[in-house]
Amino acid sequence: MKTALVTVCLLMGSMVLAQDAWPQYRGPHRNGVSNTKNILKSWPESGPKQLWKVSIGTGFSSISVMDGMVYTMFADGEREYLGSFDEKTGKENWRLDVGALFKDSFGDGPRSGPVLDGDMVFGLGSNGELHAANRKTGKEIWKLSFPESLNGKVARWGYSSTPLVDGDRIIVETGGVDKRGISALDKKTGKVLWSAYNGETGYASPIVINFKGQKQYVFVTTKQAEPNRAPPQELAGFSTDGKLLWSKPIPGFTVAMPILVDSDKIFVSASNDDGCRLFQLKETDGKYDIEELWASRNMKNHFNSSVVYKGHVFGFSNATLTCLNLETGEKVWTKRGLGKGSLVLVEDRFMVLSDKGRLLMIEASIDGFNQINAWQALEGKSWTEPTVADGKLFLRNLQEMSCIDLRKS
Amino acid sequence: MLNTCLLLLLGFLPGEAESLTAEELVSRHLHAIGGEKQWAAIETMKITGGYESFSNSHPFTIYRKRPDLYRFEHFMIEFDVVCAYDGEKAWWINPMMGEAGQKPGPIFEPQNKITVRESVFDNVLFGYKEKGHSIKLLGLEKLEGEPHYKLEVSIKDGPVETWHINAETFLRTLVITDGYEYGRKASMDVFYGDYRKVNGVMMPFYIEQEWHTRHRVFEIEKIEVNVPVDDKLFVMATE
Repeated sequence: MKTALVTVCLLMGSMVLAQDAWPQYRGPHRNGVSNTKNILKSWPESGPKQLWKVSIGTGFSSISVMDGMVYTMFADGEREYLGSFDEKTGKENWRLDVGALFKDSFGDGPRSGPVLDGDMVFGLGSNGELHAANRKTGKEIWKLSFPESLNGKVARWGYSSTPLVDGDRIIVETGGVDKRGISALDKKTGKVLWSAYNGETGYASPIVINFKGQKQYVFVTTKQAEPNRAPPQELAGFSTDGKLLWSKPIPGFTVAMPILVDSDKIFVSASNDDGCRLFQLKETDGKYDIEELWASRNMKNHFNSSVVYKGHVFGFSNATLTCLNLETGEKVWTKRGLGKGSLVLVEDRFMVLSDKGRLLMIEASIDGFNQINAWQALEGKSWTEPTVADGKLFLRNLQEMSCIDLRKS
Repeated sequence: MLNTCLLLLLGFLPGEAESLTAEELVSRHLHAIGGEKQWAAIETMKITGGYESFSNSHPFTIYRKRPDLYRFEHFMIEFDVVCAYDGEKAWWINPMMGEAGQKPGPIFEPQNKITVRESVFDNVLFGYKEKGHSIKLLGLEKLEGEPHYKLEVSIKDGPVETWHINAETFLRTLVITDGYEYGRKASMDVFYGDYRKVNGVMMPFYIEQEWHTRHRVFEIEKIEVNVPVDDKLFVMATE
C-alpha cells in the first residue's frame, strides 16, 4: 500500500512528481515546505538515526529526491557533475558531466540544484551549461550552454539559480544582456522558445504564480552593475510567452527566492541592510501594479530563503534565526548561534541546519524559539538547505551528503 | 519623576528592573565590569582563541597595549591578515585587497574607523564627559527574553551607538554601531557573552558581529594581562 502511495504520481502545479518527492530546490512548491507526514516529534538523546553518509565532492547544490533516488550536483577534479544516488544506501547510480569546475575561495563546485520532472532530470552547471538527462539512466538528452548560445555571462559566484519546470517548458535565468536575461526552453529538446529582459545573471531562483487566472513567472532580475556597486535588481513578473507584465525596483541585493503569500502578495528579502519587503500585486483592466505594503530591516536573508508559516516569516536574518510578523514586518523572536543557517518546514517542525552542520529540530512556533533536539550532523561549512522527502532528511556540507531517518518506527 | 514616567512610556515594567538615570546606569555598568581602578591596573593584553568568518574558524591573536595600541592577527578565507593601530593610523596587511595588500599599508577611509574603534583600550564610558562623549537613556526593553536598558552613547567624532545593558548583570549584551563594508557604512550589531573575570575585571569571551552580509565570531580561549608586548608589533613596517 505504501509503495502504491509513493508511486502514485500527481500533477503538482505543472510538474509531474511523486507524492512525497522533493523534486527541486526548496521542495515541491519551491517554498521550503515538505509534504512528508508522520515524522518523529523528537529524537533520542544520542541523536537521530543516520541511514548513511557518503563523500560526494565539493559543491553547494541542493538535494532532490524522487522514486528512491537522490540527486545532487558536485565536483570531482576539474569537472562538475549531476549525480544520482540510491536513497537506501547513498551509493552512486550514475553521474553526468555538466561542465568545467567553477572555482571560488568560498567553495568550488555547483551552486544550482537539480530539477526532477517525470523521467527527466535537469542540472545547471556553474558555468552556465544546462543539461537534461534521463532520470533513471543518466543518459544525456540535450544540453545548452548559456554563454555560447544566449550570450550569457557567468556571474561572480557562478550560475546559481535553479531552473523552473512548467508543463512542457523549462524557465531559467540565462543571463544574456541583449534581451536574453531569462528564457523559456522546450524541456524535451532544449530549444529556446523565447527570451526576454536585459539582465545579467543573478542568484535567486524564480517561482510560478497564478494571479487572477493568469500564470506568471516571477523573477528577481539583475541588471548590469556600475563599477564597485551591487547591480540593480527588480522584482518582475512575466507572462508565459515572455512579456514583462510588471516590475518593481528592489533595493539592496537579493539572493533568496521570492515567496508567494496568499495568492497576491510576494515577500522578498535582500541580503544587506535594505532588508525585506512585502508587495501586493494588483490588476485592473489587464494592467498590473505592485505596491509595497511594508519594508523592514528585521529580515536579511543572505543565500538561504525563509519559510512562511501561520502568518509569519521564519528565516535567517544574516546569521540570526528570526521570526517575523508577516503583517507588519516586526520581529517576534530571534535566536543567535547558528551562523548563516537554513531551514525547512515539515509538519509542525522546522529542521534547522547551522552553517557548521549542527542539526536542530525546533517547534514551528511564533511564541518563541523552542528547541526540541540538536545534533552535530555534519562538520564544516554547511550552506545547503536541508531536503525532507519520503520521511527522510537529506543534508550536505561542502563535501558530504547524509540521510537521516525521520519516520516514526 | 520625569525619568520614571519616561521609563514607563518606553516600556519599563515595574518589578523587572530598577528605575535608573543614565548616570546611575553608567555607574552600575562600570562597576559591573570591574571599575576604573582595576582596569587602570592593566597595561597590556594578549587575547587568543578562534575567529570565525565565512563559516570557518581559525586561530586569532589580539595584542593590546596602553595607550590604545592594537594588533589583530587572523586568517580569513585563504590569507593571513593583520589589522593594527599604532596610535596615529590604522594599517593592515590584507592580501584580500590584491597585490598591494600583501605589504603593510594604511587602511583606507572610512574602513579604518573599525580598527581605530577596536583599538580603544578602556570602556569609553570611563570619564566619558571629559572625553567629549554623551549619553542618553532610551528606556528598557527585552532582548532575547531578558530585560535590558537601552543607552544611547554618542562618541565624540564617532558613531552614535545604542548599548543594550542587561538589567540584572549590568553587562553589555549588544552594541549597535557603525560598520563599514568596503567603505560603505552599514549598521553593525556586536553581541557580547560568556563574561568571565580576568584580573579583577569582567571580559566577554564570546563576541559576535553582524553587519551587511557579514558575520564574525570571536570565541576567546585565553586573555592574558600585563604580559610583555613589544611596541614593534604595532608599528607599520615600511619595507
